[in-house]
Parts: sequence; structure tokens; C-alpha cells
Amino acid sequence: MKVLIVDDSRAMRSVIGRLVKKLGHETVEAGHGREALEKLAGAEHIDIALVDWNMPLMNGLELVQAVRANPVHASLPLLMVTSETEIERVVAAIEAGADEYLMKPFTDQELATKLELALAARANRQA
Amino acid sequence: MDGEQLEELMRNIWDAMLLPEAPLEGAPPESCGEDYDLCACVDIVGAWNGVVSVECDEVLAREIARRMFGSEPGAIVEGDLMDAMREVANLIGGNVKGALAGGCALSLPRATRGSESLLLDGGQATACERAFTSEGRRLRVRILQEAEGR
Repeated sequence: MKVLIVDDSRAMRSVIGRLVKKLGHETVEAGHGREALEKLAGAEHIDIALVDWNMPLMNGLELVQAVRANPVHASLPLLMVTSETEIERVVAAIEAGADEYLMKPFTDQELATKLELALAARANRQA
Repeated sequence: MDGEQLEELMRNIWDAMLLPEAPLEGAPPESCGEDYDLCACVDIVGAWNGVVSVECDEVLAREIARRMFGSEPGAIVEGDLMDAMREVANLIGGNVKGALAGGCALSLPRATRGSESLLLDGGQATACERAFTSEGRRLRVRILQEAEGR
């Protein structure tokens, strides 16, 4: 499985990337929402995107809205991974189309579980 | 958020994502001095206005960055150091914002060498602070509230 990690922090992309690779998946990285859309439009097939909220140029919520609005990528599983911890933010992200929401800080196990839940949630919505 | 909550929050972040193998010890802020090597901040604006800052010794910042990047010791360059510091401020700031009542927004984090130079302009009062050491290296977290009417 190929996982797109969208976060403006290289350090956080590195942390998440190592965990994802440990789970046996490949990673692709983007530093903000616009770059993520470029990656999605490229030749590589992306299976799921892990999306930070606070990023320059295009934030995570805007990215989720853009992905869901594009018929080509609308079925992509999306997992928000962010330090935004208010329930209002979680609701906003889910209403915009995120499949799951993971708050930073998180443990390795929490990331693995949320990754599976996001994939399952999207599969259920598509069924 | 009070000091105990801030300390618990910092310990959660430390153990989950920073340096769980290097215990974080609480320390009296006055025993740690003011002269930290690196500082990172994030602004909170809205129903509550202020700054969350994290300052630490360079050796500790390098160790945090090394672990986040999965690099060998000595492989961390200046940009890595600042990126890791910004993310630490973002982690703390986001969780502090989550504990505040009312709607607030978080700025993008910033980091620099030196202590306090990133804080707004001195127009804030310390609402809460906690100092720590890890293997003898110092770290301080502060929540500074902007003065009323500014």
C-alpha cells in the first residue's frame, strides 16, 4: 500500500514515515495541501493520505474538501493527523470528508489502528 | 490550563513522540535560568490570545531532532534542528489550545536561536510555566497571555 503523508514539518513526516514503513507500506510525502494534490494528480497510485491540519498554502481541511470535490480522488481514504484537539475540529474534519481523526501526540499502535479504521470506514462508505 | 496540566501534557508528548528513553525530570523554573540556546513559539488567537513557547539547550534539541528524523548523531543540520523545534511547539500549542474554552486558532510555529526573541513584544504575562531537565539538559515550556486590550 502507498501512503501519502501531508505535513509541513519534515520532522513529523519522518516520524510518521518510519512508522508507516514499519507497518510494511511505502510512503510519498507532501509539505502542504497543494503539493499533495499534485502528488495525487501524478502517475503514482496513492491508497490513503495522512493529513496534517495547520500547513501553509493549503491547510488540511481545505485539502480534504478539495479531494472530496474531485471525482477522480473522491474515494481516497483520508486520515487527519493533527495537534488540533478540539471536538469542533474533529467534527469539522469528518463533515468535510475525513474518514478518521488522530490527535498528536500518538503512539505507534494508535497510528496503526487509525490507519486501518480509515481504510475500513472508506470501504464501508463505498459499499 | 495550570502548571500541573501543562506538565502532564509535556510528559505525554515527550513519552509518545520525543525522547521516551531519556526521562524528563521536573525542575524549579528559577533553577534553570533564562539563557536557553533555542526557542520555538506558536501563537493562539481568538477567545484567548497569547503565545506558547518551548526553549531548550542545543544538545537536547539536537537529540530530539535526531530521534524525530531517525538520523545518526552529528547528521542533524540547522534546518532539521529548527524544523524539529517548530514541531515541538506545534504539538504543545495545539494541545494547549484544545484545553482552552472558546474558539481559538493556532498560528504556524516559528523557531530561532536564542531565548524569547520570538515572543510577541513583551506585552504578555506568564500565565503558566514548567521547567524540566533530561539527562542534565534544560527545557522550559511557557504559556504567555497577551495583555488585555492589546
